[in-house]
Amino acid sequence: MKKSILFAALLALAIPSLHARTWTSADGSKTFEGDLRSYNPTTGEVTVLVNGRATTFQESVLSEADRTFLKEEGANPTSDSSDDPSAALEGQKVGAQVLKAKLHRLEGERYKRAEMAKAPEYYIMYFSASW
Amino acid sequence: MEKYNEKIADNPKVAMIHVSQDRDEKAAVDWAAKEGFPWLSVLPGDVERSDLGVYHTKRVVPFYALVDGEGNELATGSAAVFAKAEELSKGSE
Repeated sequence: MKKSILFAALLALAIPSLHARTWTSADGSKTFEGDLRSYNPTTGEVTVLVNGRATTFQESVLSEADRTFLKEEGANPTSDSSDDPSAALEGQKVGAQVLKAKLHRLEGERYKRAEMAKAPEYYIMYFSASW
Repeated sequence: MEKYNEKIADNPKVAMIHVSQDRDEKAAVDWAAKEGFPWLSVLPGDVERSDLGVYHTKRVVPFYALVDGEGNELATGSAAVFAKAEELSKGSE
């Protein structure tokens, strides 16, 4: 039950990111997107950046494939924090507001979820409409 | 859009966020697809939940505002905003 509740919480936070991995629950029923930040094979503690927030949980809530991935790749997380602007954005009033906003970018003729790829010093806010 | 591609897209100091003022998502998407918007957007259904409306300080559309990271308004209006953004970008080169 606790695993289910934790996974539901992770699911609620999750949005796709540039380097995100799709993580699956131990029973295979749920997934969420997040960037691996750290893994401690001794304690089984995993930290994943989900929607710009670091979330820590036990590896036991994850699928066998994810646990294998952690053992093989966990010592060297692929997402270097220096590439991730989330922390810098969180440190700004506007950056935090932008992180919280649901952003999209046009791909072809459809909008797809997107995230800030940089932590700028200045923002141009452009309010416009088709009419 | 030319100014964005030339001055903002690859500028590490400045980002542009489009906050849609359309009433429905289809209108926003159709317009964006027709024009080929390259910037990040907040779509109509998400605007109210975002806090970005506070930077819409003059109730006109279209409206541009340049703010710093703490939300201080530095310029408004297309010409002034892009000129100021360019000036600030050069500041630390």
